[in-house]
Amino acid sequence: MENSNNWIDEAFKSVQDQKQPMLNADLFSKIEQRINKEATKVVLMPIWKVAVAAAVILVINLVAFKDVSYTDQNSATTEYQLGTNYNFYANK
Amino acid sequence: MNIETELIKQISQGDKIAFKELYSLFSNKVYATALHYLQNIPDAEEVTQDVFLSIFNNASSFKGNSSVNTWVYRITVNTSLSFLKSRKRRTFLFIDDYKKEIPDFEHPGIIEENKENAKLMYQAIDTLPDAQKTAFILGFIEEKPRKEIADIMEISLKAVESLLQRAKANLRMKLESLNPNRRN
Repeated sequence: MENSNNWIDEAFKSVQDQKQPMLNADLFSKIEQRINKEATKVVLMPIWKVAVAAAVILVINLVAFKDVSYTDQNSATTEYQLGTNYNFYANK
Repeated sequence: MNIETELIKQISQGDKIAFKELYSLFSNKVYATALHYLQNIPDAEEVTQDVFLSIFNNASSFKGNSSVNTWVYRITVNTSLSFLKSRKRRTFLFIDDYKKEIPDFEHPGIIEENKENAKLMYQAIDTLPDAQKTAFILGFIEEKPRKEIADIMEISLKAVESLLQRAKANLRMKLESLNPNRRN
């Protein structure tokens, strides 16, 4: 049993007595590439979103323009009626 | 503010020189820890990349509640454990077959006369539950102070001690079962 514990104790020690493993020298440039790739993704993604947003803004503007034209016609009628009324009172 | 915290602040503003400086301070530690978990050089390199990418992207979320060292180790432990889980899933689904490619892990830092014992040790460590594995790697192999392990794992000192004792007991049992006839 004591002998059995011996090799197990040695096995435990074996993972403590170790040198620092060497790190691949290219690793930092790989990380930089991944950072740049992610940054490019961020720039590329909005392009189609901008196109969709532009289309939505165009539609909203067209609808708004249509509404304004309609309101202008109504305003002209009201102004005419007011003018008529004014003339009516002025003539009195 | 110490130099590491200052570097993190600069990284959060996109400073790549500060990032390189932090990399030179921590890359060997991150890689060494990842290698204990993954027992495979390409996977440990991938995890090291993931850890530093995470540091770069999340530097602004570092609040200074713990030291930078603790924060970096916490990211390393979590990334390594997540990687292990996904590797097990891939192996289970037959997408990956890493065990066949690397039957016995030989840690590159182990001295020649310890290689046989270390190989068995790493096989046994691989079978430990996540928390025991972390306590053993940080506490026994890397010989970190218990307080630091408690901070990294966000548990009490007592819990660290208990995990470490259970890990050692389980490893002894596992080693005996891996090599029942060996006596010295």
